[in-house]
Amino acid sequence: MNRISYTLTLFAIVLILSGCTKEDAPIVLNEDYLQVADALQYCQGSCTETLLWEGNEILLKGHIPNIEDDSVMQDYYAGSRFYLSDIRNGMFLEVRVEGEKDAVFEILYTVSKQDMVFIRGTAESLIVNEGNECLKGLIIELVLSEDIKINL
Amino acid sequence: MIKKNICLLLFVLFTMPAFAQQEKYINVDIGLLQVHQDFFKLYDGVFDLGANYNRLLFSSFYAGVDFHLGYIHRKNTTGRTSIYKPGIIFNYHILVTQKFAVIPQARLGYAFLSLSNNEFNYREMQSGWNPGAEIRLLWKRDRPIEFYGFGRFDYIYLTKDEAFTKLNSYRHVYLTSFGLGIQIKSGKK
Repeated sequence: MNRISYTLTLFAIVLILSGCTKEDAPIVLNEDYLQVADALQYCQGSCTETLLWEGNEILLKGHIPNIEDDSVMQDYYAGSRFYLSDIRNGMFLEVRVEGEKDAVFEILYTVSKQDMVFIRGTAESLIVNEGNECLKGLIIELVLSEDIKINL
Repeated sequence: MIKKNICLLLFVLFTMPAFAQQEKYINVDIGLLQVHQDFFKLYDGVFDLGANYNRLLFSSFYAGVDFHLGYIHRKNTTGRTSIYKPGIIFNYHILVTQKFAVIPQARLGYAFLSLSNNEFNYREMQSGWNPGAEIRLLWKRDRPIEFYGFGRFDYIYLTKDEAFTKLNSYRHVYLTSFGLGIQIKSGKK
């Protein structure tokens, strides 16, 4: 009986400890195209510090939600932005088009919803207030139309 | 790697009954599933359904094989994930009164997560080791069928796949479920 209790207790401790070791090792943002969910999880932090990823080049891949809805695309164009989503778990982030807007949207109008879109942009921070806590989240700045590719 | 893990698990599953004595029982249960934080944080749990087969090893200590299916989804989307959880289980029956027993249980399995999103023709499989723990409150009766309520915790550590995620934190999956089940007994101690 005692041996069984010890075994079960030990098992529970191992289980809990294994769940606690979940720090993310540093990743290179502009080496491989990152999934949107990875980028959102990795690129966040406190407002009180300058984070390593801020202002760095980043490669991202994802799908564009509502790409086949004309009114949504008009809104995207008017706001000089679009969204990139991770269809695996629903997370998404904003991409701001800062440069060749017309050329970028020319490309976007050829995209269908099942196409994977690959972009090279700059990781910028966005201030997000959660209750009393001030956090930084991620948005992407896209300048050149050549930095957006479809189905690589 | 996955094949090796499955072979190891199957070996344990098939050799374990050889050490068992006579008394045996089957559990069938269903519970409400919840998924916690990290990669699946936008998902809602739906159900955790499954069964296990147990044999008395010695005293009040049982071992058995278990299979559960968990199902989670994202509301108003076609994003779905089914979680197949085969495993081996060890449990100990503690008689609290003549009518009730508490049964703590440990399990070790290998889980398969089938992610899909039909709207985008997306489908993929991820897998990983799946230790877990459970506690059951069994209502004992002098009949072959008894009833129980359970609380279950599953932890899944996904096998490294950089195409799926480069982050260690996304390889951890935490599931809990609470529900009801029936226990069907046969054989004698």
